[in-house]
Amino acid sequence: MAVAALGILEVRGMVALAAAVDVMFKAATVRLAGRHMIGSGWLTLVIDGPTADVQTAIDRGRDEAARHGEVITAAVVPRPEAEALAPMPHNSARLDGVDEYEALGILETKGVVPLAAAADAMVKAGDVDLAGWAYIGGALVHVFVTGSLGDVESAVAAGEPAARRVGEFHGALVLSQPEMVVGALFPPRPEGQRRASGALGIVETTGYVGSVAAVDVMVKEADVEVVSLTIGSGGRVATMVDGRLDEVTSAVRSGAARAGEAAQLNGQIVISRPDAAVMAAFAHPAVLAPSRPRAAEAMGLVETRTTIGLVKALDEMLKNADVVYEGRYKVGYFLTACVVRGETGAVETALEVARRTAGQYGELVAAYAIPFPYDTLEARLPHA
Amino acid sequence: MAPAIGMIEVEGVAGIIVGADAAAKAANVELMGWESIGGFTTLFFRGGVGDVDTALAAGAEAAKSVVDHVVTAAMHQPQPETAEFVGFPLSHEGDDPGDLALGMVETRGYGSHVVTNDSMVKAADVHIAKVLTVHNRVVCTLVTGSVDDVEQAVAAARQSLGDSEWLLAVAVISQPLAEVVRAFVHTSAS
Repeated sequence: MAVAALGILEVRGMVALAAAVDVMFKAATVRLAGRHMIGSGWLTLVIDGPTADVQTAIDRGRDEAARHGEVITAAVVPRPEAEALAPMPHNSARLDGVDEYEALGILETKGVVPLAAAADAMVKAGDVDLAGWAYIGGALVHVFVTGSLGDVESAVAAGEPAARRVGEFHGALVLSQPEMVVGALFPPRPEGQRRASGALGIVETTGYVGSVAAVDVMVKEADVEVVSLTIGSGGRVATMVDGRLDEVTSAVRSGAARAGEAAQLNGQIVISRPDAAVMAAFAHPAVLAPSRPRAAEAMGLVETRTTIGLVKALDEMLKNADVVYEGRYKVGYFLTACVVRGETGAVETALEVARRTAGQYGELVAAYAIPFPYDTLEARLPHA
Repeated sequence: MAPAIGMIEVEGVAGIIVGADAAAKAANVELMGWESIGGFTTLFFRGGVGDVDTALAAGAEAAKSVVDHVVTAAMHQPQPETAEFVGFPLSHEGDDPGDLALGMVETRGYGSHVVTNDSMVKAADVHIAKVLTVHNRVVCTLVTGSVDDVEQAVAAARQSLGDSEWLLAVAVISQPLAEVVRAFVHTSAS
């Protein structure tokens, strides 16, 4: 069916997008036709309807988004060639909504550490449902809560300072009686179990190598369980552990120190007695590999910003040192890593070779050895 | 002995499409596929040492006509593990493109592609073959059609983008190799 006009709005950040969507659908009679996400927090929404309505909606949406963040593109296409545009990826997005609720709160941060802190403070401050969280690139992450207007307002008010204490706050929004179409923006429902925990600890790094170094020392030095290793956006990797408060505190201290030594540390937090909803949302084993234990030889980790640098480094390591290739992990956002195993001396030799080689083809981010990795550490990690 | 491997790496995807076509036309090499780590894309091909070196030089030169940043490397005696780094291996699906030309419009941002793709299909008889969003913010639309139609379409896209700060590259390959089309149009990358 031909539509009169298409409207396109591309913005940076979920708070800006949700605010825009709500006013667009209140201001005009338009239909949500699609959406697409391309990383770095850039989100695109496509609407259709009568030309005048689409124009009104895009104008209002652009202004509202600009109040909350950055507008990349706002455009109206009259008489679109809808059939010719059908293969474009925004057409295959999920657009269904969620059940009705009185108010919606969205809080957005840079990094998972401030987000988890905010989420815990939010569900403890008001009787709200933690609907889920998601990352959208450029390290931007957001959480959605629903409930009565009073509860959502209390929750968001408590979330902002909690986020600021441990990291970067990006924005927040409360919508009273939002348009149903906002439901299409909801993150996936939490998959984890609601359960009690003494403490949840998070160490957030840029890149894979720092997170592996942190996991290894955390499980060696404290009685904690690795509950999640979340590869987020902007090259961030968040390692989460669960256990008694004193054990988690000690694990996070050691893990953060080790991550900073191996690569780049972005943040750390210990949440004492996290809410059961926070455990369900954050502490599920998202990317942990199935168990495949092997001999605990030394582990050599190399991370680069270019594939050519990594391939050349691996090729030279295998030729010049007695190591075997165990696997690779692609973090994205200019980060890619590989792991080799061997005797400690061989791994050190391999890393020397990698340092010399990778640098010729771009930036070497980390070359790090774990001489005695925790028993079956690789079984907890996604590279193998 | 395992064949030598050549790699070409650029920012964006248009540069390695043009590079892949030039490399595979310049020497007897086989395209293995490509890889993206969200930032850079890397083309992999293999063949005899001399062919790989010739293809690398030709591919890099062609890629430089599209993008500024081009890195190349050859491995004359590669270790077999290298093959694992080809994230998007060459597909054997898809029709032979026949005489169709391949056009590329690459920008930062997705929204502008809805506008430019609409202007392309209105300006000429072209087919939107693929919209690749494999990079952080980098989006590349691939269109096919006769050479004249693709040239016309790409000109319309360029006009619609005006002096947009987000325009990265525009290119046309008049007679792309079938394996180049398979590698980038019929790819498992989205």
